[in-house]
Amino acid sequence: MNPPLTSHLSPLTSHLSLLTEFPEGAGDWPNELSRRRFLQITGASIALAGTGACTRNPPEHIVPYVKQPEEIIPGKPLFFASALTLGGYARGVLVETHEGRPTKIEGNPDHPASLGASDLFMQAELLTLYDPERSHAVTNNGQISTWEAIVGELTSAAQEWKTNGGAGLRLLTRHETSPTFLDQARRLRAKYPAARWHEWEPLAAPAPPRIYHFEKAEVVVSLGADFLGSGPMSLRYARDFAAARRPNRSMNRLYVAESTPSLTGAMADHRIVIRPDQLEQFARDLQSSGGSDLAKLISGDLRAHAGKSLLVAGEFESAATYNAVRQLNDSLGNTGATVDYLASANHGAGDLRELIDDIQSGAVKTLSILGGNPAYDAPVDFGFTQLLSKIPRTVHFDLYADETAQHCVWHIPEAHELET
Amino acid sequence: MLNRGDMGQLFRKRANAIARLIVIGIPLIIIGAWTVFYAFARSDFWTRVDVPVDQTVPFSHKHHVGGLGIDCRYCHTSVEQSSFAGIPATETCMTCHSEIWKDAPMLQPVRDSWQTGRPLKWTRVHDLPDYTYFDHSIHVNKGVACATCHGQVNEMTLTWKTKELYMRWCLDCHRQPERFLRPTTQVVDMNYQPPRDQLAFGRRLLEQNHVHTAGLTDCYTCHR
Repeated sequence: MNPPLTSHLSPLTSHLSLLTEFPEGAGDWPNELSRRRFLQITGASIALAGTGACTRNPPEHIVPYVKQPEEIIPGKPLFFASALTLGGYARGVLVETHEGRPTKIEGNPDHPASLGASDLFMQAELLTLYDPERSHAVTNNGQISTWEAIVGELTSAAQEWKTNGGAGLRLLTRHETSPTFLDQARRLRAKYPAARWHEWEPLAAPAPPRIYHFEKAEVVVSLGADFLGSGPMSLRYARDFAAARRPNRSMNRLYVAESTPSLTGAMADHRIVIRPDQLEQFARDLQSSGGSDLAKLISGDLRAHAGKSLLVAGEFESAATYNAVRQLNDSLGNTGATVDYLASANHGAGDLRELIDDIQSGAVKTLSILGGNPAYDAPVDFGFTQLLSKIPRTVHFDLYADETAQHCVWHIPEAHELET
Repeated sequence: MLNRGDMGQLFRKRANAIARLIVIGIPLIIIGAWTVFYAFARSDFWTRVDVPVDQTVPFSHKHHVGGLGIDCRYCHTSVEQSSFAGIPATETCMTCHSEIWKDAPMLQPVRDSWQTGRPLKWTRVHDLPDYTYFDHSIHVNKGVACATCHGQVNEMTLTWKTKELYMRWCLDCHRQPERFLRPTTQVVDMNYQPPRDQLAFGRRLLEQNHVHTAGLTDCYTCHR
């Protein structure tokens, strides 16, 4: 027997409209109903469906505002300039709203990271906003609790932190670049000097931040980098790359060595299919102008365009590949011309490894997880899920009551980026 | 070999009469049923023309528009800018009714709404089918008056519709807008009298207001 359709919804996330659409047991086949009888009833239903047109429309209601908000003209869209983050980096967007409800997202033409374009992650934010499976209530050990309860809990904890300087208080966030958040974190640690902040971004690039200038590069070599199709800067990079690819004027040349098919690989003039473990050697070959004929040819082309070429390493390539690429860009004089390497902006956040050590030593008394789902996406040999139970007070703050919420004492529903 | 005696008449004599009756009767029944249906669909009982609609608050346009002379746009604020004319917020009612008639039992729902923050719920009087697109602003800005479609609202104690809103009625104007147009400054005037040479006057207005009659009867003008 099939489980009822609603069984996968927890009591928290089940929503009234979902329950009316999929009532309990609607997916079960009743035993007493034969196939013949089912077809009879279906046929009669279809025949009778036409008679629905024989009634007058049910009365419609108009529900005006109590206080008319400024700027809103009912029936007219209102656009807001906002920002949505991907991997911690904000991209400017324009959000169309109708009577206060977002309906469509486009890139903001005035924002350098979007230039008016949008990608699938921006569009999907709208679906997340209206997702009925978002968490709806504060929970304590899985039971619905109140906002007052969690505020009371944290207020009494704050009394403790005032005396001991926040010892045992730990924050775990995703990668954050928001100036507002960084300021809040700074003020929190100024108030509680013993508190610590850690970041965990499962898909973060291990390398220091850098900015490419594809519009100035005549030869581009990508080692596993999908700079046109993924990452927070891809919209900008795609536009810059296209600007240097004008067939009748100056047309750049793109070499892509990759082991996974990508948009960038599809755009390449020369796509080199390479095993992941060979990429490092390939980078070294380019550096030494040795190796295969192809590697020699590419390094020759790079040297012929010194200062006007660009090497890009993929987000998840090894440190050795990164170093080879960095050295090549430096020696070709590309650094400062087609690529800027930025100093790693350290805002004082530790990494997950340090947090794990602290939990194991019993130093962590309160862990606030602000966004993210480390119980799901932290490396499994960290044993993060098991370690959570060693902390007396765990608070999870996120859009979804996910795996991490199930292993935390408290869960607080987060407001969506479009709701703040 | 068969002869007459072996096999009787298949049909009796009166079968001829029945056959004639059927040949004439069936079309008659079809035409009759169609006529009844047609008449019913156009009756005020079905179209709700001239039938007052019950509302939570028995709002009288006669009092507010006819008596006090409040402009339509004081409450229907978005009529010149949007497809939707706008229904006033509770706040709009309370601008006056926090001072006058502030204890009237009739206005209790308005005061409740103001105090609790729950909006008033009005029943729609003019309910177009969802497959039609209608935009108030374009009509008002091109000289189609409020009263042309909504009738003498200044005389309505409750609100009702004066037109059945059938497509035929829309097309009457879309085919010959010059018959109904007014100067755009007069659209909210409830006591406007059309000039004697309305057709010639209307044609001048068409030109003045840049009404492009060519596309007015295209399907996608209203069915988008």
